[in-house]
Amino acid sequence: MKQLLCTKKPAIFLAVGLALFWVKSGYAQQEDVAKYPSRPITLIIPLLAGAPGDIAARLISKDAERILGQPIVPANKPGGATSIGVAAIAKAKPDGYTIGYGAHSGVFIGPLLEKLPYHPLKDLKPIIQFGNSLFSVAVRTDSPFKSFKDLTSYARQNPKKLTYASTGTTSMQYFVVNQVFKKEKLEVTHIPFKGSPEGHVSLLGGHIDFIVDTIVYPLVEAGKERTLLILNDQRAEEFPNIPILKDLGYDIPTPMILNIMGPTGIPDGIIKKLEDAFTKAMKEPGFIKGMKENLRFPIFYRNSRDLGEYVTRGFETYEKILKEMGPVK
Amino acid sequence: MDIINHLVLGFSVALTPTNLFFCFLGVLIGTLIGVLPGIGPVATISILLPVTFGMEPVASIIMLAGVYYGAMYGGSTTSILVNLPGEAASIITCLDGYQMARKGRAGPALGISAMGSFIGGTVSIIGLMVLAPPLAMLALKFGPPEYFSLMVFGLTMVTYLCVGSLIKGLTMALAGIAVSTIGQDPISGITRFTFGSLTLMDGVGIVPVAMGVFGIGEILANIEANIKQEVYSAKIGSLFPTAKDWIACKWPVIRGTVIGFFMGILPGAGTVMPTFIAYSVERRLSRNPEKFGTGVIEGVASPETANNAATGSSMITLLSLGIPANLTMAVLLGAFISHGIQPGPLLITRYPALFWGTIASMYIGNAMLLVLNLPLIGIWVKILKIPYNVLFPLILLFCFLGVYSLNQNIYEIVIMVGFGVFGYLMRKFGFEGAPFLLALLLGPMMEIAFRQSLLYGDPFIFFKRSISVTLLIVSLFLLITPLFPKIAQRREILQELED
Repeated sequence: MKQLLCTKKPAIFLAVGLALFWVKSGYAQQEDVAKYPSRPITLIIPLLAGAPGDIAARLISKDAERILGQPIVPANKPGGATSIGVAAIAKAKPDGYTIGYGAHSGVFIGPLLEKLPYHPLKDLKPIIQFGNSLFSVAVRTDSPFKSFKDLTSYARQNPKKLTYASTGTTSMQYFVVNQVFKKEKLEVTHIPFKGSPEGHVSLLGGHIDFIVDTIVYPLVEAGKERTLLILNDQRAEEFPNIPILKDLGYDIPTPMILNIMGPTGIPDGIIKKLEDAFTKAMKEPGFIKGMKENLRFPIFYRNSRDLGEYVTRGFETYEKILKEMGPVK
Repeated sequence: MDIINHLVLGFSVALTPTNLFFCFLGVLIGTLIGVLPGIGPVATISILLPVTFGMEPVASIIMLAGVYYGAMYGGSTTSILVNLPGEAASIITCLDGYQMARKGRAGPALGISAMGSFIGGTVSIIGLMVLAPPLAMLALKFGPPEYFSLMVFGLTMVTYLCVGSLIKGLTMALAGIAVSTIGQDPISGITRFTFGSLTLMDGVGIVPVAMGVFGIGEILANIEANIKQEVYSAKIGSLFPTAKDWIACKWPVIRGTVIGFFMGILPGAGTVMPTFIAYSVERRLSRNPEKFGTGVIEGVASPETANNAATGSSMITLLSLGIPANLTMAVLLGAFISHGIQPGPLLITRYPALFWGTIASMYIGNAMLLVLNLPLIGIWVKILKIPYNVLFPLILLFCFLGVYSLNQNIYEIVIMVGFGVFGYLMRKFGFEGAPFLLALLLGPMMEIAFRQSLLYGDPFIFFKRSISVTLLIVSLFLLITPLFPKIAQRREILQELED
């Protein structure tokens, strides 16, 4: 009998304990949503600190942390063409204390070219879009090409004559211009560079004819480079006279979006809180000034639902483009 | 005398108490992270960047620039004392610096690297100040074919890096090139030899490999040899270079300055490549090349001067074009942008106080670093008195922390340990680390430049452009000349036989 009691007692305790735990954890989750955020939030940035995208993400989180009442601590996880950092966001514990910037290469390109430990549509939850990165086609100022049309008509008459730089055959900007040239049936020689600085040096030194890259504003302003075409979906307020893809009749989505994402599974209440805080942060003067005057990035808003749809559409389009081109795994 | 007016303006900015304080803080942090292996200026400036958001732009740029050139001073310390490169730019300093320390000459080695750094750094700022715009134009002359020929030139230096067997040296260089192909193909983006690893997608980094091959490899070898403390602390000797040392180092310092300065201008060459080149040039020109690698002071003076001479000139393309020449400059560009300043052709006219203030602060900072580093030598050499069984776990700890701090990536520690074992085996079988590391460094740059050049559609492009063809001829000359003394020697032997 005594023996029986001894063996039974722990079992009973265990059962009671489990029951209590079950009740508590259910309760705890609701309580967590109500109390959120009760400790600092980590913001994973898949870029090197100091990169324009990194500065933008830090800029908005500085205003958002004031609204949330808890510090947002940026953690840079560069490498693997941003897929290391994006993987860290996707694999984080979905408690809302780890979110990040879903850089476009890691969301739209990397997963289509490599076997990565995440699926961008299944494992990432878009929270907000707060801006766009600007990509463009640019030439030296002394170049005879005054417009993108000049460039394409020259290329049509002189196949394989023109050379251009991009940051590699896995960059979104390369896919976009490649689609344009394909549509126009043009033969242009692509010379990939390791980084954007090397490309601009080659452009200014006359080693290539044009570049497809982010706008290097000081070079444009000082009259060293001329922008012919902006590779974004929306017209940039900063460059009202420069055509975007749509103006020239090309319908290619270019989701080069500045955003905040989290891992799938964060409770809806917490997503709502984050979405509201970041939406409010977008109206803060510090954020607006930093984006417009310092970074010269267009501010652009999409809420969680719209961004989710946009990301899905963008990913599916790129899946199709890449499959046609061949490299999809 | 425009330049004097500008300098007066610059010093009036740099000498305000706040800016002096931040300049000192920057160079102090720079020295410390230079001493700590692994963590380098890129990581440090990244960490400090958000802290500077609330500061005046001038003060923050002065401080961050101080971290950059300060790191080049501190980098040699651990290279010399424990054969562990504090920065990638001090890898080559391990070769002779560590041997000098083993001979009880750690003091003069540390002394000459501080003095050489000061000279190289100061001359480099003068160059930056006087010649920035025309030199930026020089950088533009380098397209893919020129880069390829420059890399060929760099790689011919491998033959001068081999202390022992040339065959073994070349084997290590080939191994280095082989390892450098790991990662994304630079042209097609297809991954090579990564076995699905995301870390390997970016290739094998030079810092974890250098720390493994030199630092961990050395520890493993020492543990096996059951090293006796006497080896180190027998005699620490004088703390400063003697007059004889100075005479030996006069030309290495001058040449190191010139090589470092001109290579620093080129985007991509960074501060590491000039150190390899400067060292190899000294060995080539030396009357006793066989002594290199056994602890000659010229082998410390030239690379340590070169890496500081490269710091000033590597800012040229950033300040006059807005194009960062290396990773640290890219982070510094971020610092400018976050303060609403766009470096570029208009920087100097638009923000004269910022530009000249930073230049003036660099003169002050270099002087501060010299004053800071010379007294430290006495403290550093005392580290050698720590019993080795206490010292080596500490070195290991710093290796692990340092590599992890690079990208917060645990797998880079695995890479470092792997190459530690590799470095240990290399020592056992008499292979050398320096040719391996130079090839690992140059391999990717050479490959991309070669393939980019071929995309132009003309395989003879390398011989049709003047800079490129000049570099190739110089490389050929360097490859052939070592054969001649041997021919001369043989003739002498033949003559003796005939007699």
